[in-house]
Amino acid sequence: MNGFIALIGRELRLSVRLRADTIMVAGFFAVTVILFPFGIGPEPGVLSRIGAGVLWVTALLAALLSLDHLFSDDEQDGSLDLLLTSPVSPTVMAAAKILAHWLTTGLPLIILAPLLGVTLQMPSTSTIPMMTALALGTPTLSLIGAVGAALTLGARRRGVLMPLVVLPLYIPVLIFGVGAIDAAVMGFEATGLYAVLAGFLLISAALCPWAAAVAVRISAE
Amino acid sequence: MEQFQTFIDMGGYAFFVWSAYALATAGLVGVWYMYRRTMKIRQAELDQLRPPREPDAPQE
Amino acid sequence: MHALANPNRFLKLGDRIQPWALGLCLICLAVGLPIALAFSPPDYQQGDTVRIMYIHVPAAWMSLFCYGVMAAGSASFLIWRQPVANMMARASAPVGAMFAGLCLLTGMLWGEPMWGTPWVWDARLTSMLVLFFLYLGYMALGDAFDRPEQGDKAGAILALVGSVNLPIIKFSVDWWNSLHQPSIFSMAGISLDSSMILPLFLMVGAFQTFYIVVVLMGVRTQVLTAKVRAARLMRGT
Repeated sequence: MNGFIALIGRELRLSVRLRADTIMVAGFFAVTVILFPFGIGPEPGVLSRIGAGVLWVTALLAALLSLDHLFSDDEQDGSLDLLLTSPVSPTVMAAAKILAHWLTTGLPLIILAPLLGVTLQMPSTSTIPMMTALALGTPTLSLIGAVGAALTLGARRRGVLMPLVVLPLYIPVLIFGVGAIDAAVMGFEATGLYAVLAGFLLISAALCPWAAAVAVRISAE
Repeated sequence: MEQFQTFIDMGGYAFFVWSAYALATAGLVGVWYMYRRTMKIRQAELDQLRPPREPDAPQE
Repeated sequence: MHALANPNRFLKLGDRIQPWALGLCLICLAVGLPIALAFSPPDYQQGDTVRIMYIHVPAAWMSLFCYGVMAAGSASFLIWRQPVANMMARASAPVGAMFAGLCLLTGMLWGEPMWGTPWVWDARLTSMLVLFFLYLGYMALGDAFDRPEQGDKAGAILALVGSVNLPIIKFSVDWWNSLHQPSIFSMAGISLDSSMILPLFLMVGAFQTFYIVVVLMGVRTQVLTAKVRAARLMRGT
């Protein structure tokens, strides 16, 4: 447990010092969402109808973008080998990295989403469901994506390979994430959908750190 | 002959039915050819590296 | 490469199976195609388009079957380090992807006259599309490494991750589909007449035996590749 906390501290410190991830991902998220009104036209009815989908799809892409170097930075400077030989188990190491990734890139999206929802003319009733759905869904994105990032470690043309491997696995989160927001906007009960998102989160929290650890060890062999 | 014509016509759906069967043929033949070709290429590579008269080279 | 002893034995067995599988495949086609195309009755609702089903449905089954082999092979490769199992898995992917693609394309050809549009976000078609992408990801990942062993293992893990995900994707897509468009007409909505069972069965047999023929070639290719690599290492090139 101490190792887990120490590792999270390390990741967060690195992220603060490099100041790259959080700002880059939040910026990507905002700019991409803002593109949609230009592409589709500013009619309020259309924008508020597709708003949930736009936010979620963009969140998927933002997560993917930042997951690219979840392990590869450490692999390139050799610290990944050190982490693997340290007494902390690789699964714990992967879990710490995933949690840190979510704190630095997932959390900002949740805070930013209501603001962007306003630009998409989403009703104010959608704010809380939007944040709830993103809070339950984005950790799953980090978890699944971490497996993809670990699997593609050291692969050729990684930039195209990662989306091909990871995006199909994101579809369930996308479906229920959008569904929960849409249901709330239309005034339906969304609790069941939150429960499904939470279920996805639990399953992936149980399996993904372990799978990512196995994959990282394979690449380090 | 008339019977043959109705067979070709497929009740007016000739394009869809025959395209589906053509695609299936193309898919099966294509996959078969692809698997066979890579197999032949590998065999040729191996024969070049290790003339077939030699008994199995010791493997690492 | 001691483990190659095992693949060699596997290939010897394969050599004996292959002609039988090929023969059976040709028999199934020779008997099944005339029945499917001519001698089976047209559906009372869908007319002759129902004949597309004899390609579409077996292709769908085979694409799932191939993914099953891939997942099982990957699991036994990761757990018991069976190289042959992984070779089976790797060899199943391109055929499986072809069957998934065939299922999608024939689905579109069936949809155009029946739904009036080639593509409907029908739950089955959508799930099949995702399966197709899972195949593509698996194949791309397996070939993306300079060290082939890394590709084998990474691919095997991805196949397992995918097989855990597939039921979840299916469940999600079904829910999503029920939300957005209540299926007016489903491809599964045909009541299978007994006269349709025989051609369907024969086409499944043809595809299944075709798969055996092809997958044995694929395993052989991989054994040969390993031997080529070993021979190159011996020569120091």
